[in-house]
Amino acid sequence: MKPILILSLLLFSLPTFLLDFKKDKLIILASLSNYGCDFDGDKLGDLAVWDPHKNTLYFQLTSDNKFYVKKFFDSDLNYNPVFADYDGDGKTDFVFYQIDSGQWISYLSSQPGISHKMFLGAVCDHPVPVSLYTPKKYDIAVWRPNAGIWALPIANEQEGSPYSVHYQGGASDSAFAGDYDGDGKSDLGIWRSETGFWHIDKSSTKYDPNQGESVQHGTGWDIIVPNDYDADGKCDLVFWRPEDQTWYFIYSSNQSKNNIKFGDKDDIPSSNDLNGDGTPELVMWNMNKKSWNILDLKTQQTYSYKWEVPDGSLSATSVLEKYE
Amino acid sequence: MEMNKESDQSQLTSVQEDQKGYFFLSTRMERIVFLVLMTLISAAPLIFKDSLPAHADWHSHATNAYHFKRAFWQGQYLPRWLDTMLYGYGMPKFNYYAPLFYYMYVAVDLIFRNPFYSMKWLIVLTMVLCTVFGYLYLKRHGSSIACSLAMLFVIFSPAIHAYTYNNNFPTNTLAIPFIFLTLYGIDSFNKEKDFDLKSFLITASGYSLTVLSHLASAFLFSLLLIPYFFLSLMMYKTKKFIKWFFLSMSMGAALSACYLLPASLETNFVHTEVVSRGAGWDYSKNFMYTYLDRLPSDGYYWGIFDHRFYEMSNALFCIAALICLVILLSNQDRLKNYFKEPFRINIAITMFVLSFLMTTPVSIFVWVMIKQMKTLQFPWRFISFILPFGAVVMVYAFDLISKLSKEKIAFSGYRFLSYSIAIVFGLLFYVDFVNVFRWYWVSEPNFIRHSIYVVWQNKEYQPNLTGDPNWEQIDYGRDFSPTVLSSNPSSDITILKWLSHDRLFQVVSDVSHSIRLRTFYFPGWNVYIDGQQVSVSMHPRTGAMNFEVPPGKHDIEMKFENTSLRKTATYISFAAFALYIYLLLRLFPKKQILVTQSVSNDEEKKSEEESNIPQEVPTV
Repeated sequence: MKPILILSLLLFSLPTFLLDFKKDKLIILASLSNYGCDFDGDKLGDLAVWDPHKNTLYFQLTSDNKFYVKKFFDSDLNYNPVFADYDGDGKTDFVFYQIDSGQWISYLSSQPGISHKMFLGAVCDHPVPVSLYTPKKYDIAVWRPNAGIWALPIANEQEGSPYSVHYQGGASDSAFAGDYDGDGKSDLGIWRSETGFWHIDKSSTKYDPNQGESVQHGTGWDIIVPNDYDADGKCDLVFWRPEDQTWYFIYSSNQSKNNIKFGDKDDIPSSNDLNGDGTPELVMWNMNKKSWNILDLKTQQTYSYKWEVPDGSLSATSVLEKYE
Repeated sequence: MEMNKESDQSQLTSVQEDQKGYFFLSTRMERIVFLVLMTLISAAPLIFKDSLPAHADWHSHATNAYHFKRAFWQGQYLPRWLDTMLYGYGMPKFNYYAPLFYYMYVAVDLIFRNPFYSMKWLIVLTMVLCTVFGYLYLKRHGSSIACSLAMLFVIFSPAIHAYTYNNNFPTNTLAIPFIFLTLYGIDSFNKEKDFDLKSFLITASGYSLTVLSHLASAFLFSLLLIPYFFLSLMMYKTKKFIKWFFLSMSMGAALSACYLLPASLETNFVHTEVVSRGAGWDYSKNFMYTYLDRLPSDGYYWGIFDHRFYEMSNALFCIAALICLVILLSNQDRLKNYFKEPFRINIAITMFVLSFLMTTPVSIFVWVMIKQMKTLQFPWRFISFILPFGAVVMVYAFDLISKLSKEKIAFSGYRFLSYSIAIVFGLLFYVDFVNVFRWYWVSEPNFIRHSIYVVWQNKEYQPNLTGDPNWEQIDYGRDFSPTVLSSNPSSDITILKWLSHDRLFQVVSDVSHSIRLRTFYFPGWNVYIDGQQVSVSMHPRTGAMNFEVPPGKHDIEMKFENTSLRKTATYISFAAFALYIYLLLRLFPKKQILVTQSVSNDEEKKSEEESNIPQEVPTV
């Protein structure tokens, strides 16, 4: 009798057991935080985490120091936050990308109460917002890793499509869009983990790959976190190495290098100008401890905050390329 | 126990029993340790290197495994459709590609939760299975020591080693243990019984698992089973065998019908013509031991199989088997004295030679005559069969040598041949070693990226729906059309569920409109509006789905369902599986009765013995 009871219990508990194990362990491949995260537009970055299981955002506004919880979608679908300023009003907009269908759902700060839906991209594609026309105003774009193609918001009159394609990179790369040449427009870049090369096609050369730049910096499990860390108006090539918990910088203005040891092994790295000094702080979110660790690059001071959020909540201050 | 008895009856008593005192591999534990150690050495680069061999098909299997798992956990428990293929248009890959390896991946990944380590240990597991089933099969034919020594050649054989490290064909490797199992089942047939249920179940499961592991291997295996059947029939000489054999094979086919039937009968829905076209897939350029395939203009394709290693390791294995074959042939008159079933040796020799010839241009007539073989592309696939038959030839030869060594005959020639075999094994080991470290080994981050992003867009699994002769010119990679597109730009689309095989969304439109779904209209896809199935048309160029929607708010569901063929095939498999379980259960009670009977007999004997013991006389 006893074995039957144990077997039945095991069988009944199997679905619960499998639920936890059917997903692989989370791996962060890239963290694009150069879009900033300032929901209230007070020039001070806000912190936010996304609960992917409940599609709920937990964030704190610097303008009122209040903590907000907002459930965006009442479904089991997987949405990734792709926050940036899409309407150019200086406030970060709540924009989400449904990873299986390629549907974008935008809640623009300039049009409260209205959601915009559109499709761009398909399963396996990556949402990477780009700023091609007005500095700091972003448009949706996707990068297709297995084809090595960007779909950019540039009208293609020949094909009658509002999007143009640009070939860059491949499946072993991570893509990013940042203003590397300082002309106010996004440059398109990929980082190849196998070789550690960053290849950047610049807007100033009309994204001509022959005039692009290549820099070797990083390898393997490094997580790229490009942003303008020296406030010179140019995006710097930066990665964080979980192995030694160190940030590795190459400043685009003079190609000088710098290393800063900061963070814990399981952290998700990002950057955000939280104090409004024009230089982004290094911001680490630890999923297990549910805590933020922040390093002010100017003052070298560190800050820690613990948040009461559900298990598995991810940093929403950056667009994450992740795997699980 | 019963099986061992049969083995003992049909074969020579083992060398171990004939000799006294210690000698190499004399104990069971020693043999187990030896085989485990050898398998570990063979798999060591996989286990200890922090990367995976990445040469020919690694990214294909990385992608297959990850997305099969994804589809499985989304509720496609018999995954056929992978929505991630072809940039979201999807492909019915597992309607055609054998799924067993990927089911095993799903199970292994529950432990590792990482595609890199799951794949790594799954490949090791297939190598372990080869050792286990290889030994089981060889043990049916000879002494334990001869089997253990022949297993060296199996473990380091090109069929296993080169498939793993050079070609990255884990599905091919997985078929090998089940080929061993099937042959073991056939060779275990007991003609004394009315119907040998045990070997029937073993053969049926072995055959079905071969089909589910690798269809191309299973097809070629089925061809080879024709001469094997006739040769076995010559030995058994009973109608019972004919009945048993066909029932076993039919049961095996029925068990795997859920996959086998659609994969075989729905080929007109995909572009299978791709696999028999072009230099890379031309069987006539893939024969072994020939320079036909060395044209530099053929370029990359020939790099992936690198025949220098492939042919060298195969040649060494075959040379070892050939030496053993010469030993057996030169002692034809003695074989009857030493082996109870000497005809089995002739079967092994014939099958080995046949398999060997099929890899060479000598067999071109067969390749030309049997149309389907062009689709299977590669004559070197026959190395999977050279392996069991070659190894059996070795087992017989080793046993013969050990017997001869006890006779008063001039033994120096056999000693020389034995040393030659040892040298050939040394060379094989060396070639394997060089082969392992010659290729690019992919790192974990790169492997994982290749797993997630579908890099390998197999054209042979691309749906053949539109009849467009220029179908290959369509670049789906640069197609960023919306996944769901309404002809009414102001319509509102809310996604409610989006799985690989089942999607549900709500549409609101004030006018009637048509919707285009960015998914191939492959047979099995159906669209339901508010629960009612609607007719779907197909985009003439892309093959995408189109249908009309009336104005208003509607729930639209698109489902990938079984066609009548797939449904029938699945029912056949279920029925066969139920029958299999029933027969298996019938096998066990018999055993239990036997055990109880033997126990009761023992007790009776015991009580008899006890009764014979003289009663102790009480001392005064």
